[in-house]
Amino acid sequence: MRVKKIIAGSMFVVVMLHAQSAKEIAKKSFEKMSGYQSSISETKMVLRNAQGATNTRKMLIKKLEGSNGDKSLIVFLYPMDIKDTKLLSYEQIGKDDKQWLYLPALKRVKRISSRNKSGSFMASEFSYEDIASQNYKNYSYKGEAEKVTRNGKAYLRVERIPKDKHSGYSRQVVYIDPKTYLAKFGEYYDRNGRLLKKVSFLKYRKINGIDRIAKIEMKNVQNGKSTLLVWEHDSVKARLYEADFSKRVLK
Amino acid sequence: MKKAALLMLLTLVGLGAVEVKSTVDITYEGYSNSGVQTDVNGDVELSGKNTLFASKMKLIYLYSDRYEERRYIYINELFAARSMRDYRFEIGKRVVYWGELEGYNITDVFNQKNYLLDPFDKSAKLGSWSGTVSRYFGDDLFEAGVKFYEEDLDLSNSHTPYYPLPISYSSHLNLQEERYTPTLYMSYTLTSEKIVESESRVILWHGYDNKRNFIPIEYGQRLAQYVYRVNKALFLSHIVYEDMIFKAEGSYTQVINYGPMSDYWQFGVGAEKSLYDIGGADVTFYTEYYRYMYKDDTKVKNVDISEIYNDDLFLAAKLNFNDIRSSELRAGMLYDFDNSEKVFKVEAKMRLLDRFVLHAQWLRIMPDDNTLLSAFEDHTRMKFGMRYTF
Repeated sequence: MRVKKIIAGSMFVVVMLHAQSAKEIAKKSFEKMSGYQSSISETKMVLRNAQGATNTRKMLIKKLEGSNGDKSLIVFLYPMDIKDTKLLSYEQIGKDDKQWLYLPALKRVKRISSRNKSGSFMASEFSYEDIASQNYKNYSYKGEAEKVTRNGKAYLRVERIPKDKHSGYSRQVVYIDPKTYLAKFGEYYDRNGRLLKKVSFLKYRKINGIDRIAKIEMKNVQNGKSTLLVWEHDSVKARLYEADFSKRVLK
Repeated sequence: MKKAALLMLLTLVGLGAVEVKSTVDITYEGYSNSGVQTDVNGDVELSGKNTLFASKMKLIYLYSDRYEERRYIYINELFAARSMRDYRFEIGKRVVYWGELEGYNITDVFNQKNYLLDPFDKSAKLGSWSGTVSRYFGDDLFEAGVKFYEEDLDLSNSHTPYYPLPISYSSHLNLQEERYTPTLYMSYTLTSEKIVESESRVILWHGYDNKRNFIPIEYGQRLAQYVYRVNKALFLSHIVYEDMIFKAEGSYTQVINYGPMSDYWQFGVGAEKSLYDIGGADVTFYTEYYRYMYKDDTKVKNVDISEIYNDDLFLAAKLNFNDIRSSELRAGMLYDFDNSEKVFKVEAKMRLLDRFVLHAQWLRIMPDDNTLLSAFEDHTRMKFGMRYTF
């Protein structure tokens, strides 16, 4: 009996030594994707409705890494009727983001509402907060990352709660590969606590030593729609600077 | 001016990679009084860039199957731009946008409206020959510019819908000075985040007014526009407060040595609020109020469409369905407190097969007697169309 207690106690100590907090895992996962300094990507977004009909969007995305949130400039390339429409975003951790839209037909730079977190990005199943930097500081975490098995593979299950009260989600569960610390899939719950979206991080690639997402699928389980986002070209440490993200670049 | 245009065109052709974007829009229009018509309008846009400068040419065209007067093809934009560190230079025929409000922009005075295309479309504007120098100070901006040519302005003639004049019109411009007499402006844009996030701009303008008088010519047989010089101060601003955006535009115009016209003030204020993910759709609400005041009430009035916006309330909503067809519905109402006049407009559009956009519009004007709005005899208009972009 005493031996059993000792063995059980030792196992508990071993588990405690290896258990990592959800926040630690989230931080590691974020850091795996950090350090890109700036990037230029060409992406394709395929929107699929509940009936299976599809529609394609193409964008050029420039990003600048920042300690208090990233800056991004999205230039819409396709469909042609929205070509050259630009969206400039300044992410501000702990505050409302700033966003400006350039409408080429009117030559107008328009400030848009900073609280546009849950709104759909280009009619896709990605919301504005889904396409933001996913900085681990934007969420609060509970307890430890749980080791789980899904389809015969081991993952670290991290539950996170958006700090922003205007988020469209009450909580998110993200499954992280314990070897690479890269997120593989996740479940996002709406404000009423019902499952809203399932996200799959389908492909990563390493560019200049930095892990970069190459393909994501977002499925909305409530309306049956889905969106596939594919990075067709991607470069990091792209020598972009603050001036490349000022409002002047919108015109 | 033709030589300048040719030179610019050659410059554009000389650029390495030239991007081409074209639009063809076929629209069927039905009016309460005038006969139905089918319009074909659109543009061809060429833009290029090399290490020295960027350049753009935009050709616009309109063909009405019913009205010969509503047929044109010309270059609306043709300019070169160069950015160097904190400076940007632009020269050529340009369209610019100065405004914050959604319904009507008091401060958007740089370009004349394209009345042949649609007097009720605020994006229908004609390019102006001009040049600007911009200097950026972080997010702040100083800009100085000059407009150096005033072009004749076409209106549809008396047989077409929305012709506001009692007799026929001559597009030949009459000017207080020369066509080449420059109009100068300078502006400063200031951004602040001290108490609330805001961006404000002041523009000082000296030269020809965008508002014009009509004078009789040919022994009173026809009317023509008379362009006079003014000093103008313009102000536009927006403030972001929580999830609301508050906007303001205002202007004061002092007429220089032209007796028939009075000095005038204009101002407008508005607010915008968006609600996201309402059953998957986004809704934006707009509320705006406009005022127009003359310093001398006895002088000429009601010669410009801007004068309609006096003691008027604008209420509108935009519904974005966030579907794969990018379907959008806009509805707005303008209500005049003075004369109880009303204007209603509903617009809808959706994308089809990536390159086609189906669009429809309903416009209803309910004017009072003897007002500027009552000069438009057609009070109801329906439009259906399809736009192809390639």
